[in-house]
Formats: sequence, structure tokens, C-alpha cells
Amino acid sequence: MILYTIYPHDVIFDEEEDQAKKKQKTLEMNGVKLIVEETEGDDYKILQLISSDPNHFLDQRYQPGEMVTMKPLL
Amino acid sequence: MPEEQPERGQEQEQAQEQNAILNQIQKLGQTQAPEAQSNIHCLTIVGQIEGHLALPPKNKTTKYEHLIPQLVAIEQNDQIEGLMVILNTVGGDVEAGLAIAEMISTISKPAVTLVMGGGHSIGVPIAVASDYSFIAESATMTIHPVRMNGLVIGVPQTFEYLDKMQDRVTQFVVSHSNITEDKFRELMYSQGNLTRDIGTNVVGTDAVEYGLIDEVGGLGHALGKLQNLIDENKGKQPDEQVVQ
Repeated sequence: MILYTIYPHDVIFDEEEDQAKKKQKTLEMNGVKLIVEETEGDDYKILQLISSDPNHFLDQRYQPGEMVTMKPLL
Repeated sequence: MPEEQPERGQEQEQAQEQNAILNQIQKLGQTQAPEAQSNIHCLTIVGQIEGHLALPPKNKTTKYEHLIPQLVAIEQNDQIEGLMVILNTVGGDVEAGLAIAEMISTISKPAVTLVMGGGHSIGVPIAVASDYSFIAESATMTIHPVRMNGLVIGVPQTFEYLDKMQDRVTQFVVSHSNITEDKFRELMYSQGNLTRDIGTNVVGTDAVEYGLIDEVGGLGHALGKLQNLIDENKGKQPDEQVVQ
């Protein structure tokens, strides 16, 4: 892999591991991709919305900070 | 339900409607949002462009596995008439960047790119990949050679490989913009513009002057241009369909 960037190599590849990142998940809700962080139990907090539809960013359901509940399908 | 019980008053109906919404929230944790359709889809390219290796978590990344299916969906969906790409990136993986740039340049729908803040390094080919490109007056693009860190085994071969990779980037930019190859190489290898480094930091108006970007402008200009391109594209379509 060759990086073509203005950032120095050591800035990108910093050794520090971010523990919070491990609790993050990417999931799909109603066809919209969301990056969520596990809070407690089945609750997840939305961190980021990945979509090319600008209207999804106006949708209250997908705002960062909103909670989503996921239950395992049995 | 209102047909079954015609004697019900309006207030009661409203109360029932609210109750239904409340039930839906309790059951699904969500309500139905009003459907709004946009004929333009927007891709934002931010932070590092991530390639085959996941970068350490503190990097803000644009992942190509997210972008590429979105580009395919945009191409395939009849409701979407145009693509807007907004860049504010520091560069990243060469192959992922070139892949995104090729996808944008080969999409059949009108595409407009807008560089805001910065569109550096591998952001340059992405910025020029569209049908028409804009750069904000205050935005910059750093043009510099592809570099490599770490242990090198077989210096001549590695040099050759890097040189070829550089050529791929240069060729893409030259063939998708109005800049000449000589000018692009001159900017890339010029000294004294970046402290202790070679390359040039090209600011908004200069990027237009060199032919790299089509116009200086912001969001309004870019959306207006995209709408014009969509209208032109609509006018052309009947002819194309006859050919099949």
C-alpha cells in the first residue's frame, strides 16, 4: 500500500489504540448505513451516517446521538 | 378505520392517530419520516482515503467499500439524475483514490465536484474526475510526488514501481483536466513552496488559472451547474435511446 497524502507517516500510523473504537459497529437500518457505538444492552448510539442521499441527513432518525435498539433475531 | 365508525369526532381521531404513532415508536423505536426525493445524490470525501489496509482509529477515513456501491446505486437508480462530490481530504491510498476517481469519471450521469478546504494529493485526481469541477476561493490543493516510507528492498525496482504509480496519477489528472503534463510536473517538483519539501500548494484561483479546476465557486454555483448539466443530459437522451 502506498499512501499519497500530505500527512506524515507517523501521524497516520500512531501506535495508540483507541478502546472506544472497538465498541463501534457498522449496521444497516432501512437501507441506510450507520456507524454506531454500543452503549448498554441492545442500545446503540448513532455516531455517523453513511449515505449519498442528502435527505437522509435531514431525517431525525439518523442524527448522530440518536439511539437505536437492536435485538437479536431468534 | 374512520369509515367503520363514522360517528367518531375529529378529536378522537386525532387522539387515535397519536396513539398509533406512539405504538409504532414503542414497537420499532422509530416513526415514519415523510418521504422526500432528491434527484441529486452527494458523496463527501473527507479525511484520509482508506485503501486495502484499515488505518489506525484516530484517522477520519473515507472507505472505498462504502463509496463504490453508492456510486453503482447512483448509476443504476433512475430517480437519481446527478452526482455531487464534495472533497475535503488530505489524500490517502493511491489505488483506492484512483478507483474512486475512475468510478466518478465513468458514471454516465452528470457529475460535479467541489473542493472545499482542501483536496490534496490523491484528492487531485478525484477533484478533476467529474464533468465540471469547482474549487472554493479559500480551498487549496497540494501537488507533490508520491512518496514511500519504510524499508526498501531492491531500490531500482522500487523506484520504477513508484515512478509508474506517479505516472498513473499524472496521466489521470492530465487527461481529465485542462492542465498540461509539463505544468503539472513543474508544480509537483517545484522547490521553495513547501518548506523543506518539493511540490506546490495551489490555492483556489491558481488552480483555475493552471487549468486544473474549471471554476472558482461554492455550493450554489456547483448545484446550479449540476442542474444545467442534468437538463442538457435530459435533452440528449432521446437520441441515445434510438441507437440502442
